[in-house]
Amino acid sequence: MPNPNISSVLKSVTKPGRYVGGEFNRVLKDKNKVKLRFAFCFPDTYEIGMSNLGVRILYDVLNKDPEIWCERAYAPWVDMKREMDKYGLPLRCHESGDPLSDFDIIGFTLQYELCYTTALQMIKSAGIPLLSKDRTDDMPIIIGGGPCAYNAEPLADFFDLFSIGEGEENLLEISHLLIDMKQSGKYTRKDFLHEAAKIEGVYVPSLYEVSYNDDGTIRAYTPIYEDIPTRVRKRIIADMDAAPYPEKFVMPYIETVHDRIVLEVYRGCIRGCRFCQAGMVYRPIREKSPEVLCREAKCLYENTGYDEISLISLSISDYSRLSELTDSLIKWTDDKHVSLSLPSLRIDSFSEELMHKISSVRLGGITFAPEAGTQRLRDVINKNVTEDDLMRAVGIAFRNGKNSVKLYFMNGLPTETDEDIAGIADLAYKVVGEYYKTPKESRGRGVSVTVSVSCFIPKPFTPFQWERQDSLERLVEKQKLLRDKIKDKKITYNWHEAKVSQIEAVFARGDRRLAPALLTAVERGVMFDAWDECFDYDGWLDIFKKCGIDIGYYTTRGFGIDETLPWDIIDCGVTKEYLKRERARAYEGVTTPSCAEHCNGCGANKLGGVNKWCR
Amino acid sequence: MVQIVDRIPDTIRVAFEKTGDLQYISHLDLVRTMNKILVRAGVPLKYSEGFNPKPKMVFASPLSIGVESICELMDVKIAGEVDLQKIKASLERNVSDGMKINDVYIPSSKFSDIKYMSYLIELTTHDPDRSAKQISELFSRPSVEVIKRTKNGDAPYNVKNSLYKYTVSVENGVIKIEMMLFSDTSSFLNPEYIIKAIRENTDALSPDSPLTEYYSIMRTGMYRSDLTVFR
Repeated sequence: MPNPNISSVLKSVTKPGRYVGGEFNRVLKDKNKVKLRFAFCFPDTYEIGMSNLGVRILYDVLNKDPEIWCERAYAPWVDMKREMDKYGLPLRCHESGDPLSDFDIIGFTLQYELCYTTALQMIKSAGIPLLSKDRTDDMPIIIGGGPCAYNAEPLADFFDLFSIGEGEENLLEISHLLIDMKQSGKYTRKDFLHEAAKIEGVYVPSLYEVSYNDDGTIRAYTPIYEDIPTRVRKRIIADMDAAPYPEKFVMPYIETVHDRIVLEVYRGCIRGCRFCQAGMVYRPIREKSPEVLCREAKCLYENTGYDEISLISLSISDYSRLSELTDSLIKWTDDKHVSLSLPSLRIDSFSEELMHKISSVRLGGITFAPEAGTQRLRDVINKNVTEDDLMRAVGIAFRNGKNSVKLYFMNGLPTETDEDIAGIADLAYKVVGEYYKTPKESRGRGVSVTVSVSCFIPKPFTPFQWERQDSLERLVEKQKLLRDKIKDKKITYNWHEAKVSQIEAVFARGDRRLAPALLTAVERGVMFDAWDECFDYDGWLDIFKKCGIDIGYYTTRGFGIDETLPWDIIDCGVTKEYLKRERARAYEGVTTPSCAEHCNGCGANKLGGVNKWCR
Repeated sequence: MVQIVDRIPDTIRVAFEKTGDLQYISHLDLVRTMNKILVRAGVPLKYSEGFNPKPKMVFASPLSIGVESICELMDVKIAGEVDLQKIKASLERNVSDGMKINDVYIPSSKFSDIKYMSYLIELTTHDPDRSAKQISELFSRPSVEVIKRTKNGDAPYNVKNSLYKYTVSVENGVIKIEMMLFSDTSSFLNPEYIIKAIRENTDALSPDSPLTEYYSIMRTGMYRSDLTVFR
């Protein structure tokens, strides 16, 4: 936001480096020589937004097109927002410093439901009407994408369209449709949205009417034009080796959350944990080859100067050529003082060999996610990890001098009983016991086990999408139960605020009738709900009450198995029949093998794609 | 004929500017940024020993957020022989707006020899002539106290203890304060405290009009005890 007059403002706010841009590797173009200006917005702080791989990929894809200039914008933190409101300073993009209202398309990536108010505040800060129907032909088209777009119904009245699935090709198609229509002089918002709705992966909510049953449940989604699809199928990139990947990253001056080279190793997941939305909606599995990944890593190293490479995917040890990849990377990274990190390691794949290769494991603590305290419940959620696996993994860690282990669990999973909660404490005690079984000479001094417990949210497009969420009282009771079971000072117990999970569930499972609540929240200045210091539970309860919204409808009620769900308008590949089958198996306590062992017929293979496992 | 050469230098000194929007980047972030610039530029860096090897870089004097500089110095330990001109050119290719590489050379002095630093403060105010007069009057007092944050909590501090000399002028409606501050640890002063003194004792820089009254601070030079430029 280069503007000399705001120097006093910048000097008065925290972390002013968030707002100045000027980063190395950012893309500058002549705005008079491009045909379309795209403002890519991340509805959270700069430090979080700059860490997002999706933004990095799409920024690169859009800017490789000579007709498009894509710039970035982030949400101003509370103190900066206050100053901007006070002096009437509009939200600006980092590259040109131009206000958002100057752009043809404003795109938001929606990574978590609690960013919705922040996204809407950004639109407001740009001086653009919040509701899609109030925007005129001379205003930007506002589009959304990312994981929350799979059920963006609460935002349906605010956004003009959603890009469903992977955006590399889709965003270019949308942009070029707009360029063509504007150049031919035939552009109106109405005609553009109608045409855009015919592009695969584009969902224009205003072109679908929602009708309701007498009991308030949804009856149907009806397209208002005959030539648009009745269900919107998500987009995927077929061949990951041929997919575009940035050769350089924009280099933040200030420290960001993930300030390193990230390599996307594959998309999708072979596992099928029944609570996990990512494991379902990113199917089918498509891997990149080690040759391509190594080439990308070298190129990014030269263009960024980062000293860390992170290999990311939903479950890195499920990559079929992991040893080959790490071996060829280590060949040159060690000499250059570049370290490798592997987040998302599964318990059952943790080995002595990996431990020595991976610096993120060599340094710091180790994190595992058993998710549930008993084998019964782990079978219900299809985690496919046993207590023996966990003891073997922590045993390796302790024998190699580690003394700190972090364990992730969830409260409120379907069928959970007090016994399962006690099981979490038991597991933590057994991990401590495993440390004392390790010979003194090889173990580190003093053991610390951290148990982090989040609250289950029944997410769209999972086998648990119909489940009820525990009431707030029940979740708090369960948290207390576990707290009472953990007496050992070597075990630290952290729990996720149940109130936050409840509001998150409302928006994750919500429909269009939540729009008045979002509108009221924005009027009241609500934003940054994902931040503890900003989240106001009582404020939300008051907003829902004022708007006549019963949050129990979306949370504790659960959804009927034959009910039309708000997200039924989207086809994410995985079929409802598969999700129903998986739900039935959950209640039987029967696990389902991974895609690597057996094809379970989830339906995502109909989307195509170059992959190893699908038929 | 045997030529006697000095030992191969193990350190290079980089003279650079940090101006414009880069004033909002903290010293810690500058260190991390410089690290990456040096790697991209292909400088043969010498790394520290241990579990988490890091390049060895030392800065002459960290800049506070909100202070620009045209005279920054950084020493970098190198491993192997270097071509200084090539390094300079390659560093220049790897910096973005606000940073400028002025020189790369083998240092023959120690940062501890820096005794003074000069700054240029520019103020835009509603009534520059009146403000300039008030400022001149303020600094002609024997003592100008501000509350200064120290390790042991907030305490009153006479900024004149750090002020070696200064001039106040008005050029094209902008007030210019050129000043030289002592830079030894005991009397080192963040020039932001000079602004604080002005804000608290004159009409200039009212917090109510940040868009029309503002200031900039630029570090302009580093000097030895004999007032020659430190290099």
